[in-house]
Amino acid sequence: MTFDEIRRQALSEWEVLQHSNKPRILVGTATCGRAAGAMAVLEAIDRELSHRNIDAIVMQIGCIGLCYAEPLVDIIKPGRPRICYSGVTPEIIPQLIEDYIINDNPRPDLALGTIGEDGVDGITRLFELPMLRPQVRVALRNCGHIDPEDIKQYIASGGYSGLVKALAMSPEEVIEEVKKSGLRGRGGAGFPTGQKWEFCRRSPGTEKYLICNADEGDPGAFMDRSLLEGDPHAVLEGMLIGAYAIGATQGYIYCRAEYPLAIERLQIALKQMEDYGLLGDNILASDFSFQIEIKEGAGAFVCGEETALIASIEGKRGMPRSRPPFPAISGLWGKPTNINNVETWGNVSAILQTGGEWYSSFGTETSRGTKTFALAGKVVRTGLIEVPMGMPLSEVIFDIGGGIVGGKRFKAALTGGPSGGCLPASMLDLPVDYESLTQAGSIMGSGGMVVVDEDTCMVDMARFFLSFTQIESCGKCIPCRVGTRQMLNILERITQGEGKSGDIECLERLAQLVKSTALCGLGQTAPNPVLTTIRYFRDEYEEHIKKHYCRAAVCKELVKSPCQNTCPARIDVPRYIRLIADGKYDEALAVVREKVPFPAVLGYVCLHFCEAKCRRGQLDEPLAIRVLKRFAAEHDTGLWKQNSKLAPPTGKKVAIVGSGPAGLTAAYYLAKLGHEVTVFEALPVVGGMMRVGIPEYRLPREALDREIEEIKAVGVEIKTDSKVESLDELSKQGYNAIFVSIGAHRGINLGMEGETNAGMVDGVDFLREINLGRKLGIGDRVVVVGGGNVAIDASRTALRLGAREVTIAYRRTRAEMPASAEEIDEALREGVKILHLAVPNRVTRVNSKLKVEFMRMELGKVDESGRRRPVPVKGSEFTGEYDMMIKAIGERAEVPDRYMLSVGRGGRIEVDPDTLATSREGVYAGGDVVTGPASVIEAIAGGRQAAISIDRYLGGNGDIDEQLAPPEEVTPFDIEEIEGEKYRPAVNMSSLDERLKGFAQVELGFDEAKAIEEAKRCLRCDLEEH
Amino acid sequence: MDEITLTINGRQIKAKRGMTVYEAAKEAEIYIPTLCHHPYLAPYGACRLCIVEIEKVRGFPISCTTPATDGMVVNTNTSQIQELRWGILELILTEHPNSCLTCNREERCQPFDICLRSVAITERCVVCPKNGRCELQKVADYIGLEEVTLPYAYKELPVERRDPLFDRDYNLCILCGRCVRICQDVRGVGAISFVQRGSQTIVGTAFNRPLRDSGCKFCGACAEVCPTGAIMDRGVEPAEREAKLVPCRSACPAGIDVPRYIRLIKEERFAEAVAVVREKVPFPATLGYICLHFCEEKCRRGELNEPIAIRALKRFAAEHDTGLWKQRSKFAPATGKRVAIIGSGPAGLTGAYYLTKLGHSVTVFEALPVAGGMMRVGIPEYRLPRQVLDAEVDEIKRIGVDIRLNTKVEPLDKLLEQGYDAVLLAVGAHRGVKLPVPGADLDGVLIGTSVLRDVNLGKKIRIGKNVVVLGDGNIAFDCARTALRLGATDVHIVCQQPRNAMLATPDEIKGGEEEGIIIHPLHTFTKIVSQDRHITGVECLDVRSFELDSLGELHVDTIPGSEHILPADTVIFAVGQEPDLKLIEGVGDIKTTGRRYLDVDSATLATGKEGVFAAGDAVTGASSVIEAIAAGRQAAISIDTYLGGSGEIDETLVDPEKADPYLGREEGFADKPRAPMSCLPVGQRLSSFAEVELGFDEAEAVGEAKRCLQCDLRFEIPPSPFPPQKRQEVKAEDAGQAGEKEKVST
Repeated sequence: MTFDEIRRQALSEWEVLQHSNKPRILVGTATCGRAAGAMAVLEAIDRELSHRNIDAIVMQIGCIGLCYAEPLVDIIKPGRPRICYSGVTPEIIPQLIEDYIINDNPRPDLALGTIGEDGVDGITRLFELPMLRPQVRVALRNCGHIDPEDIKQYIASGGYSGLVKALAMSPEEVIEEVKKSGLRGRGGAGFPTGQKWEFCRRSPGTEKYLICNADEGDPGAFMDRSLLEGDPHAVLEGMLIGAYAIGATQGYIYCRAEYPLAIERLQIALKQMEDYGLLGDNILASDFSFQIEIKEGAGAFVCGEETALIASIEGKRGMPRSRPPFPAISGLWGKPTNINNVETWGNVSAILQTGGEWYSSFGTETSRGTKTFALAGKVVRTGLIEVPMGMPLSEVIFDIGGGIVGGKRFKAALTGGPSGGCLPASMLDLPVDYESLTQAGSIMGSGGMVVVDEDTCMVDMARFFLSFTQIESCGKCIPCRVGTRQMLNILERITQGEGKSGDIECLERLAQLVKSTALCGLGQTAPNPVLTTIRYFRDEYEEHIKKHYCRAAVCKELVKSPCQNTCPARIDVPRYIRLIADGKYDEALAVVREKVPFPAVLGYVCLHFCEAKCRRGQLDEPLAIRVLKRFAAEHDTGLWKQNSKLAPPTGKKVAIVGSGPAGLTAAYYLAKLGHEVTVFEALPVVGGMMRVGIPEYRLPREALDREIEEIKAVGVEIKTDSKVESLDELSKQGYNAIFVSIGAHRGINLGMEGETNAGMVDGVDFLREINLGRKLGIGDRVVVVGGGNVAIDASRTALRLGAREVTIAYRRTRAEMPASAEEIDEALREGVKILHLAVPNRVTRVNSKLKVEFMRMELGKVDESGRRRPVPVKGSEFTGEYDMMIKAIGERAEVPDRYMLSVGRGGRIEVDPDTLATSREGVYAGGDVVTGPASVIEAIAGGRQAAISIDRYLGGNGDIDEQLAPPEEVTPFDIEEIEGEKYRPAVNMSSLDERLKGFAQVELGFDEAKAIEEAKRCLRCDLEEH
Repeated sequence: MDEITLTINGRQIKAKRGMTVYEAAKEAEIYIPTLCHHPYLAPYGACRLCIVEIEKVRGFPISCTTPATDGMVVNTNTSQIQELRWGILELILTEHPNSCLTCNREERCQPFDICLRSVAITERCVVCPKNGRCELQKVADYIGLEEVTLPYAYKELPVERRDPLFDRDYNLCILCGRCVRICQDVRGVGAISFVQRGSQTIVGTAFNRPLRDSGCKFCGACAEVCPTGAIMDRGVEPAEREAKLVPCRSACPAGIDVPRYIRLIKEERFAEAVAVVREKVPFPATLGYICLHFCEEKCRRGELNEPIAIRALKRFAAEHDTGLWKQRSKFAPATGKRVAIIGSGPAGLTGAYYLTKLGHSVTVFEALPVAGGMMRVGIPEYRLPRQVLDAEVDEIKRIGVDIRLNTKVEPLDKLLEQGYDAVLLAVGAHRGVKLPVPGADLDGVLIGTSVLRDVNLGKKIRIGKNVVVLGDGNIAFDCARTALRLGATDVHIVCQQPRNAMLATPDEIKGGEEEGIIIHPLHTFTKIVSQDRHITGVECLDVRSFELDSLGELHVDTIPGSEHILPADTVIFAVGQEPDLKLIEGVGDIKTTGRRYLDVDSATLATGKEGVFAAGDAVTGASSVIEAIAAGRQAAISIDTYLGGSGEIDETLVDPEKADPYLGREEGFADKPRAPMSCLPVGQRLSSFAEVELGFDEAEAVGEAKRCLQCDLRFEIPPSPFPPQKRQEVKAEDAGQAGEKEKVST
């Protein structure tokens, strides 16, 4: 048979199949599908069909790339479009077959999308899905569409026409065509493919070899496997074309033995090629002869390096050798050899089929065409994708990948596997092409892309990848074998809390040494993860080394439990939760008191970062840590006072400017250390934002008062209505040290037209006035601008003051709102309306009303915060009428010039981040004035650090930690008690009617039974054996 | 010659096309440090120390694999290179003991000194067997690292001592791969390889089996190329390397190049093999039959299983002599000098042979009617067929040596008067001794040497049926076995030593016992008992212990009351011989050692009398043929020198050639047994003096030769060049240039 005859036959068979009057069922049974249970689904289909006596065609196909949705089953009924069902289970099959095949109900609820020109109501088109729409599938063109074990389906899809074309050309012309395409090696190094072929073609010698590198070894990468499993002929055709161009007579596919399905399908494909005269002597009756042999590799990562791969085929230990000579001159058995990876070959066949020019129309100037990526890690939609070169990283991760799982923050993307680098949020705009990635310190690699979120420790990540390369080093050259080991030693020390100053520099030095002097690509790139994490996440390294702190709560030796690790004041959460469970409420409170002087306040208002990291959250729901803290505070008996110590007077005087949480915390600890402390407060009341920012319905004033009394009880003198104009004044009064903690009480302007109109007020000013007991006239309709907790507090306060309609205008969507979710929920419940994607543009005052013109916004690219940036929609203006506008888009600090302190962005005082020392000797600063508007707990942590630093400055040892609770005897517990899904008990809340009458407490906390029940849900991570 | 020009460190140098940058630099005597490169091995590129900077080339290519090209501009020592080399060296030293390398006391410290820095024993260089000769140490000194800041961790690998010949301490290994490459690529053996991966990588055998079970051929190439002390020849001090490492050659008194002729036999080039033997001795065949083969005792193969059958192989070669050696045998023109040699034993004839070839006119005076000395009248014919000896004596006569039989020279004065320019006394030690025990003077008490001489001269002697031979050496066995052949039915050998201390060679003991001789070790004899002056037996005592102390004094502790009598009608003393020194009576100046042996200068063999030399058993007491030959050689050298010649007697009869470095794998090599020598069946032996040992056939000989470890092969490996004594210097101007090329490839 001539090829034309073969093709005609294949096409007519394909046509028959397409117009078959039987239903066709396609099951994705590549390795990814099988791992998700596709084979059981396939069995269920067969069983059900025979059970119901349905005559249908069942086909196994490769992976279409939607790995997150596996197992995938496509059903094509005659005359209907193909419908793709995702997450199919064997249990669902009988129903699906009954509903769709028998009863013609396409079950849109189970369907993912349709394929084909016609649509089905209620089902989107598959290639319109956000994951597929941006993709351009060249190498993966047939994956998921044809039966990979049937060469005729490949031929019917245009297969081997590229070879036919090539055979009609001269080898030089074929090389020219590939050069025209701009294709570069997809294995990672990106060497121009046509040029590489030319070297080999021109290399003297009649015996030449061609190798397909299928030794895919990056953790998290599966591009080659999917392509070989889904469309082996695309790769094999590419190899034939390459062999013809180069003049090779023997080819090898070096595939790792861990890919049994890929090998099996390759073997089937080779057999079919032989049957059709596409392999062996005189291929398609031409002078061209070529053989292909499969070599199974034992899974050494280094065998992906071409010289090591060649050594492995030769039967030697897989060790690279120095180049020159390059394989194009002296490769396998010393003969000229050309190696390209699976994806490159898959592209070659497409280029010859469709044309080099066509291929070069995709991608960027220097990186032409498309690239497949194995998108893995913490993205919503994992899978195998193929996109044009140059697509921004953010599009790959957020549009195709659907962003980060669980609404967490994007932290880094790792491209190029263990040889690549970690790219931070600031690089999200980076176009994915060879040059840009290299510039950023990473590499393209073969296409692994692992996305990690805030729960990943970058030091640990570097350690992990280095431990991989270190183990996979062949051991030949010293820089790689010993250098990576030494680097790993340092990283291990750092992650174990034994880092030393100088470690980072030593890592950098070793990394450069290894990069510059290692023999092969493995060694030369092994330091990349370390170098990029140092480059982009140096602060995490420093935290590990200096503070023995792992912010992601990953490094076990540094982390007692994720909740305790996350608490800025390091409150020993699991311990007090356990004491609550045991009914020892006063001991529980004492545990909280060991770190903070405001347990009750925190019990009411803490932003509870701990809960976000609670491991129970991965199971069902995080512990209600804040509410439990409140419960403990409500049941305090004062036990903690028995062990609270007061040092003898030191004779030193400390002035504290500002009586917010930072100032009072510092005052408390410094007084306990024996210093004479005076707090100067500008307002007539004590407590800072705790008093004048947080509304009373959230924080009862008596709770705050009680805790301030305890602070006074240790000898702190608080002077209200005492604004400090100059620090020199304090020095003159004999204060040995000063702590500036004046907070951030000044609202930020919107910068729009009409901002100075009457009826416009700042959120912080508004709340302060109310909290100081002043009366404020409030209209019927109030609009609050902003999305943070201040905006929510202001809106709920406005409701309580009698506003009939309160609207929050926010420029992004609910998902991006910085306010805590429970606050937003309560506001909505109380009747606050939220206007999303809206920004006031202009305000005019008409007839004592505020006429506000808004702009509609839409979400654009992701910014550094990992959130999508709001972009105004042209011509989307609309207006609203209000009596009052409260601006709550943020606050800034206002530091008097006469303090003579170095002030930076947002009016914040610049301090040494470790000691909080300012530019002036003996003067320290903390709280919102340093951090910008933050939380009470962060301010308390700042106050603690200030107390430590000031005590040391005054000659003390800075030891403020206390043992207030009696030593704990941990009783063994029954693990089964905490196993199984179990949710939080509902927190008691006041009724809506009760609430809106005034400023009565909204949240009523737990009763004893609920508190114990909740405390028992704790997983006791701190008891885990390390 | 295709020549190129390149610039290295600002110097224009010429190199051959195809050379690497490293080789070009070496040719120009520019040293580039390296640890993995070795001139005998293909470039490898593992240690990375030989990095250089090349203009217009990215990064830091290694010089050992980079081809030198015309017009290339290379810098080997910029500050950047220095920095990187320090870094690499530091990494090497985190895996290798290094404390001494950066210690200012390094030169002065001894292994037994207390370390003032309290450095752990596993971190010290001074305790390393390779200290002072370690390539790593020299390279480290040259690169000049001031301090190792990264932590050193002792690998704690067990030191491998279970193999013969080598100790392997991979705690000292830097994985340069030289041993692996020479074993795999050059020798084709592949007994060792890299095992494990990453920092766990070590050199080892498959499944950590002993070397002998992993195909090792014990050629020693790995130890030869190891730059550290990781693979060491056990018990070999540097000063005696060659002697200890090729012990067969050094153990041979005549210095025969054993490995070379064994290799020729292996290659089935038998005539050339015998020519190699001929380069040192004129009696290859004789030695092939009866040499005491000190070589075999020292053969390194013996530490694996059994030594090579060197003597038998020599005999095989001699049997396949085609006379090829004669083509290259040289004769000097006549010198006109005359030399008299007294005695035609191996020493005398060897001296005669070489002196004749040197152009002197040599006359040998032999008292007996036959030539050959003890070879003829001492060694029985069943051990050394007469035609073999005759042929070799004839060869000596053929070149012009005049042998006068039945010519006893006595006294020496008369001969000296005849105007010989030099005289060699090689009269041997033919006078056997009896011990003064009661009954020693009885009839029927014989002396071993006399028995053997008489038999060999064809005289009839009277031997009874029950023979007791007193003695433990080869002569005792020769007597005993001869007695059997003369009709004795019960032959006993009595000696004081335990069996394992007997002087006779194991072959002889075995042969004797096969033929029915009963050995009584640990027996001392107190008297010969008789009745009517007819011997009836030998009274013996059991010996409890027998030892030679460190001064050579014999201590024999007998068990009182253990007297018993071995019946005998004939007793033969084979307890030692002395030379007959009557001929020097009255000749002044020639001294003796305590009246027994001739006293000579040990180096020149000159006696006290000018022009008179002495060699062989007359000097040494009864010893071996090969020692006598060696003495004859020395006498020839000394006499020729005395007569104004150069004393050069060594010959090259076969052109030395490079051996094939490829050995190949052979399963079971280490356990391959020594080829057994086929012998005349015992039943056929005693009726005549027919040859007992029958020699090897070709297959046996070649097979046996293939067992040879080729210990000499490693000496064809050239040494790795050591760095210059002085530290490397960095040129400041290079540093600037380097800065511009900082970009590093990834």
